[in-house]
Amino acid sequence: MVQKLINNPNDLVNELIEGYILFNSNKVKRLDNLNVILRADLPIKDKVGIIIGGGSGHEPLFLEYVGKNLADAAVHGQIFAAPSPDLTYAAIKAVDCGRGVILLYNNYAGDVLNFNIAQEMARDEGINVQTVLVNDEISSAPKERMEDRRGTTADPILFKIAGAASEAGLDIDSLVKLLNKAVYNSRSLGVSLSACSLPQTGMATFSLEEGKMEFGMGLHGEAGVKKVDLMSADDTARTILDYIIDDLPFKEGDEVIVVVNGYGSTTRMEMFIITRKIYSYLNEKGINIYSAEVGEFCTSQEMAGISITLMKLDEELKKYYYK
Amino acid sequence: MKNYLDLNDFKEIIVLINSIIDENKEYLSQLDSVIGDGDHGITISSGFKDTIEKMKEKQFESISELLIFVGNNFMATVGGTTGPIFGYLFLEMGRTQESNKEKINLNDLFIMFSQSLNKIMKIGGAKPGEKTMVDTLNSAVNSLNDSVKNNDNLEIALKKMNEAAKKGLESTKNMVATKGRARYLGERSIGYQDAGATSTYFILSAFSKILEKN
Repeated sequence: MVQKLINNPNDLVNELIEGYILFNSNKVKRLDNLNVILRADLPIKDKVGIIIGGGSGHEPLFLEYVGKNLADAAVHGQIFAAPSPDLTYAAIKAVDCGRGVILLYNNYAGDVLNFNIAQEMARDEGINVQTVLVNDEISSAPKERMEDRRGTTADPILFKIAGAASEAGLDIDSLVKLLNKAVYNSRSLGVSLSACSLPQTGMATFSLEEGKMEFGMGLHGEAGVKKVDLMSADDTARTILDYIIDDLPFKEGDEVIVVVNGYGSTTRMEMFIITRKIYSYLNEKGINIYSAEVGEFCTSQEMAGISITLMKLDEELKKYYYK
Repeated sequence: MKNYLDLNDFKEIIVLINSIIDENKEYLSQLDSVIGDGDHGITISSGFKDTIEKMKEKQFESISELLIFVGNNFMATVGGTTGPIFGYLFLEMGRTQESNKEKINLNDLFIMFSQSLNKIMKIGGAKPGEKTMVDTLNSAVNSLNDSVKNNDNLEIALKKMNEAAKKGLESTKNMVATKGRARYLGERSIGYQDAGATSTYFILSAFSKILEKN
């Protein structure tokens, strides 16, 4: 049983959003009493709307990515559960200024089901809604079935690119093309050292024996691909990078953004030790780091572990990625 | 022997579903934690609880109206995969012509459940044999179809449907998951019963229990 500082378990998501909005009232506002977070300065004229969202419990995803040069709205479901269609539909109505809206979210069955229903509802009213699915997690399906892969820690970079490019005035079709390229160029893999719990119950969603770690474990305890004895930071970084480099593949001379993401209870000390190895290993491979982001971007409660994301850049992507 | 279900029966069925699911929510979450993410029981029970509370405050003119309300409210409250899948179970039943009748007979009920099954398979992309709730629902619908052909009394037909649903549910134990989160386990998912298929069985069991009670 994991100890948590919470109130009524049924109010988790509502209270999370209330707290975040009080803290950031100059930047964001809430749409009615829904679990929808909007930019405070909406409506924004002449800009394609960017809506992100998914289950709660992965903070700072998704709400902390709403703002200028980021998303216009974030839609939150309950803990680890997709948001219902009425929320996304309300967000689309709030964000659309006539140039259309992009739903940018991670590829999970529940999210796809719910976002698709909302998309249909809005399209029926003549709003141009397009979808870009994030599927950067390489262990969740082989490369031949990339469309089955889950979305994970490419999110923070994708949200930034989507925000900046829409702010710059790109039309919806160019944005969809740009974002699909950014998704394709992004590959992630993580390793878990301990389970995450469901905050409503305090119970772990899976168990991992003492002394073991598991590659490819999902953000909700989805089974991984390889369970091994605990490895050193250097060996871990190298193992993950080998899988990622091989998957795209990333080549000598490529320029990349690196994300080193902590899952929740992994310390910044460990993240920087991992980061150190990533720099030296990519250097050995002749892959150039344009920028790196180290921290917690997509967590899974108190799960221990890290994930690494590489996104291959070209001139167009670089233009819309603000360091 | 009563040979139909009316608006009042359907209301009682929804109330009964809520109590059966509530009694079994920990069991459902436990099933889900083995091959899913462990929240199914809490998620589905909170959806029915909210629906029941709102249902009690409302007046319904027809079975169709009731079922559409239940489906929409469930979908809006729950989200996740459970929201649309189980929301459509009721919503599609309520969208049939048959659900506008005052008395639902066996053939009507067969048509209503068939429409739900087809819609769920379409939106969820699952077919029978993939270790999902479709396995329970499909067995139940096949059984209703047989009962229509046999001219069974509704009570008998629902009893048979209940047994068939249970068989469908139990068949998920030996299947390999290819849909949802359990698919990442592949062959390792064999031996475990699917949580969504289990709650579908609980939902269907309420239909036969209502007639037994009467």
